[in-house]
Amino acid sequence: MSYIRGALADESQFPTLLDIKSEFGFIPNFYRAQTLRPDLIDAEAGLVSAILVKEGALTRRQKEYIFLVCSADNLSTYCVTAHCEIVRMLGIEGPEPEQIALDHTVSDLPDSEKALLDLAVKLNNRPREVISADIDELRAHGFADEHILEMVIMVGLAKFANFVAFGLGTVPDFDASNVMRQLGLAPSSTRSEKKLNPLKDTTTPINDEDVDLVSRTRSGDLDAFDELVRRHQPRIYRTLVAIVRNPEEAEDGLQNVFLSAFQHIGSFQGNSKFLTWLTRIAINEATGRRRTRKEMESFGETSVDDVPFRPRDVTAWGANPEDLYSRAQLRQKVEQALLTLPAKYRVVVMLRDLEQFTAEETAQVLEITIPALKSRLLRGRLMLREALAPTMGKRAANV
Amino acid sequence: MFSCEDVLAELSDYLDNELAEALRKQVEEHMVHCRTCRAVYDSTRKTLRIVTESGSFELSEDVSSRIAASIREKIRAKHANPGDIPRS
Repeated sequence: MSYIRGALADESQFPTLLDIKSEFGFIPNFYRAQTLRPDLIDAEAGLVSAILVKEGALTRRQKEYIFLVCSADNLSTYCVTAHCEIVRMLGIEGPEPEQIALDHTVSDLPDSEKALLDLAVKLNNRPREVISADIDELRAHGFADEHILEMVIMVGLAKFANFVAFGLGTVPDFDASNVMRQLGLAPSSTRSEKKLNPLKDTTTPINDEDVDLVSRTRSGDLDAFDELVRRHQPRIYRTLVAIVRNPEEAEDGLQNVFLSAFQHIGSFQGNSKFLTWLTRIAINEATGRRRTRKEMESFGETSVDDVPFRPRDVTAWGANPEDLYSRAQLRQKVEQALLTLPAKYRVVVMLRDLEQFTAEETAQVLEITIPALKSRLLRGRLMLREALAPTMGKRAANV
Repeated sequence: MFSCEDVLAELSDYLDNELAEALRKQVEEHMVHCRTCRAVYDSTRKTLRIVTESGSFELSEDVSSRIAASIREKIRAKHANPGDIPRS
């Protein structure tokens, strides 16, 4: 578990380790590697408690993020893995911690927090270049000197932890393969942008039923592409409707999507399913059309409504409310209800519940994180339920 | 003890069967006693079933064939020009 042997005594003889276990549910290998000197473990745990855990000017989230960006910059797989888990265990809301570690600049953090992390990284990397103007910039973002002091000390704490972990050869407490891939420490697919891919298993082979047709198209077999069109037209059409909201316009866009896919099929690298790639093209096509129409309502924005959606019509529904209507009537009611949803909720509900994409695939095509997807899906589903309630509830059955 | 807000926050994951065992139990324990949450859960479950099976925004056969034929024609025209053959 580390380069040097720890003490042979069991953990119950180290009260500090028991405290740590009761707080985090596990004893980090970082401390296990130091059991030859329990007094130093006590001192370090006290330091962590005073700097990171104890309430101060910065929030715990800000302090954890500072720790993450510095640890990632120092390529400390151990510290990044441990603190990604700790962020999750604490239920800290915000972007995926791996995204912060990998590249906080492309996350949806507020600009002030990005500025805080930028300076933390600069201090971590190029300490001699830090000047008073950097501190003034943080002040301009609204940080008081107490915040800045804590940031500087957090950077120091991260360096300390990173270097101790390196020196002792501490093995990560959790599966580190994902973090190592993201930090470029393990074989990975080529990545031009340091953006965390919401699809977790980028290295596992993708089971794609289209792979043969794609490869035949690339070798010039046009009938193979006809088959891809036939296979995916209905779903691509629905993706377009979900965004442009207008069936006629979606029909117009359909042809462009497939022609563009044909044109660029050489650049499809098989990192995702062909349908996922095709859906991205459809989303771009539809977004372009919305832009042309100058629709300002964004479906891609990452903000989440703060106030939870509360169901209003809570009348119970019968066992099979769909039996109240013919198939054609039902379809029309569902379509009308879907079109009443704001775009960003309509798109996730249609991709996930109508087109049956998995949560991971939906997040990937919309380029949002899984937590952002889930938040929108919940709201979208509840809004859709509300829109259908007047025609599906028991009151409707009695009319 | 889970409140109605807590249940609502977990509803989507509960419907997708993605809740950890402990959370799932809490949601279910709450719903035993709360008629409103039960009604919201049941109607949301039915909403998803209805949407999935509705065949909404289905492309009609003739529109689908017309667009497919147009795509077919255009890519064959491109293909006649060797510079346009897609290559990896």
